[in-house]
Amino acid sequence: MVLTKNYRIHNILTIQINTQNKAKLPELNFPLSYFEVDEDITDPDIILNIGPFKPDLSGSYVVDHKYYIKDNYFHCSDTANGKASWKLEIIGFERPPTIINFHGKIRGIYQLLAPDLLVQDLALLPMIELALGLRGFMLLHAGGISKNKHAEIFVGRAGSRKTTIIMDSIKSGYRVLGDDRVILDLENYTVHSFPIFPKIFEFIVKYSKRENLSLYHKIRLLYLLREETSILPQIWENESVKLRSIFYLIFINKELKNLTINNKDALLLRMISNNIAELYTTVIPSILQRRAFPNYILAYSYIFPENNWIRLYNNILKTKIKQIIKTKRVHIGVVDNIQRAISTL
Amino acid sequence: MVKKSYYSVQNILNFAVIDKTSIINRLMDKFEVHYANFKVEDEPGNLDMIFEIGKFKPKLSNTYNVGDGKYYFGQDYLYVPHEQCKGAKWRFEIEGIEASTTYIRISCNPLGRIFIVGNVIDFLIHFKLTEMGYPMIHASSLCKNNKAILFSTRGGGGKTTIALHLVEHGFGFLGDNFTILHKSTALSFPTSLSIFTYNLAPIIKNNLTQKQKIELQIKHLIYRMTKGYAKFFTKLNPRRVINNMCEKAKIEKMFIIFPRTDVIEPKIIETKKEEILDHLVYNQMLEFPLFNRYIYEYSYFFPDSPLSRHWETYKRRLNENLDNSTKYYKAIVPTRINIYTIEKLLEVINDGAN
Repeated sequence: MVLTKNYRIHNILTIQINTQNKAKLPELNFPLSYFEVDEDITDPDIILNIGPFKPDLSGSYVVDHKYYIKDNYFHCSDTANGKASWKLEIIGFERPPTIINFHGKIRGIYQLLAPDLLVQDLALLPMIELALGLRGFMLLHAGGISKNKHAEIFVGRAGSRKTTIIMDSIKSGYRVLGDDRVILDLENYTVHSFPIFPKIFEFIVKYSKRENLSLYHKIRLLYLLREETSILPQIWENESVKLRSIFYLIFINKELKNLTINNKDALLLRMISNNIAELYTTVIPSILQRRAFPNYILAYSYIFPENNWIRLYNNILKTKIKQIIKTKRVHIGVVDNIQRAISTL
Repeated sequence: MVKKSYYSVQNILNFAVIDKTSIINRLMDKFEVHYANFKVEDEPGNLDMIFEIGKFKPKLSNTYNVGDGKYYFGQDYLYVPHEQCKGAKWRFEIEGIEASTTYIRISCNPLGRIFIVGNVIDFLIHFKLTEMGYPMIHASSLCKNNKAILFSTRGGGGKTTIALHLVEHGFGFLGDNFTILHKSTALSFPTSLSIFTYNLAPIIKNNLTQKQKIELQIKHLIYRMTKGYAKFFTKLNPRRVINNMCEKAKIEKMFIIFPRTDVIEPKIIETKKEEILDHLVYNQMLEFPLFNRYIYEYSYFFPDSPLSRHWETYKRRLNENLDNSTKYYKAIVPTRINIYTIEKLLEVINDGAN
């Protein structure tokens, strides 16, 4: 029995997930629900198959006893701290179309509630990032809000209170493009929404005053997710909007006065580092601790040093972001405390 | 019971290790054995690094905090409060990354003693040596007639196996894990050999004590019982089994070795320096996966710092310290190194050698 989910990410990318698992909590199991469509997509850009599979390892370079690499192909058997183990195959690792085959086991409650979440976090999201990048879009790790058809985005590391700022801005009539990621059109300087786990964020906005949920709220959230009712879909900005400003969140430590923040090259490097550092960050830290995917990219680059992953981060994104930072059409600012961030809007 | 020891790497990099922990914590210590060949009796004139192992209070006064306490970064400062891998737990701070003496404080549980060598101390040695113009590569090195031959591979590529077989063929031994490069010369970095049942070359097998043989079998059993989760290596000082040790030699040939499935006949192709540099850089990046993450996180706050620019610097240093007087080869070999592969390599090594 195979369950199929089809997704359309605006008019840019199509994805299909085929899984043999039965998840007790579909809303947690499928983080891309915002993009789900009913139609059966022919020729999706990325296909993810979850279930037993037979890899073709003939003619593969072997790295570290566990990574099997060929041109545009990757396979590994991996584990996460004794809490999960899996086999992952990616055909189209650097050039589309992409087929991801995955078979894994998670120890504990996640196997029952959301067994497909592991591969989507570990591999699907990074492959979406690559596919978007090769089409001229950056899956930026940032929060984004919009009003009057203009977008403001907030770039920052984990814990820089992006979500708090966004939640506050909703009160002033802003709509949300994403609380963690947004899609930036690198040619037209427009922004598209990229909500992950939309209902969870809607819940936080509607019922909790803070980002971190209390136990009571967590239980209530689980209950509401099972109900499959709408929570607050109207907070999302579904149309693409023009980028007006980019704010870097760096809560300045008063003693570090000689920190040059407005240096344009430094701003470029910060945006890239922010995204790459995010490749290591997992949405399921209780299972994964850290994402292994950057090591997969490094292993592939060890065999094929000139590949699209490296090209994306070292050439394509650097060139495009440099242009955005230099242009007068976008305002760049650095925000040094939350109150000021909120009042800037 | 504080234990102080001093180490010197080729008189280039000097460091001290001050161990303030209990005997129980030191039970699984790999450091002493691993760096036995660098130990010196007297405190060196200038210490580039001082490692303090034991409980410490981090200096968080001027730092940025990532992920609500996941990392703390400051000017020339780094603190990682929680790091773990398979039951090993450790935390550490680096104070004065760019200073002439860098302080590194590490606190860990007994299992952590095994992991801090590869995940913290080795990286800092590599980082400092790179800054000084002596980049290290992940390669074994041998020498004959004052000329060095290097074999760079990832795990499973047979660095140690090839090195030990070549020793039996009369080559001198510089190291089986890392080799220091400087102006086309290989400098030895002889850390202990990591022995497991799968890489027992004859020279080791014939020189093991009964105790070591039993130890190997027990560790192999543990490996099988935990389905590969618990892999305990046996550390062996190469000086115990190898008489012909070498300090340095001009690099005549460098092989980058790629195991591949479906290969029966090894294929060895001569190539250029420019073609192998990236392989060397990614190999080194794969050696330090945890530190790569710290570097990207740190780069958001201090994009211009030496730590943030490290890998660019490393590639540049490799380029500066290798030249075309060395011959470079790519070797595509079977996934299990066998005698035939070694003979094929020897053919190329002896071809045109003086």
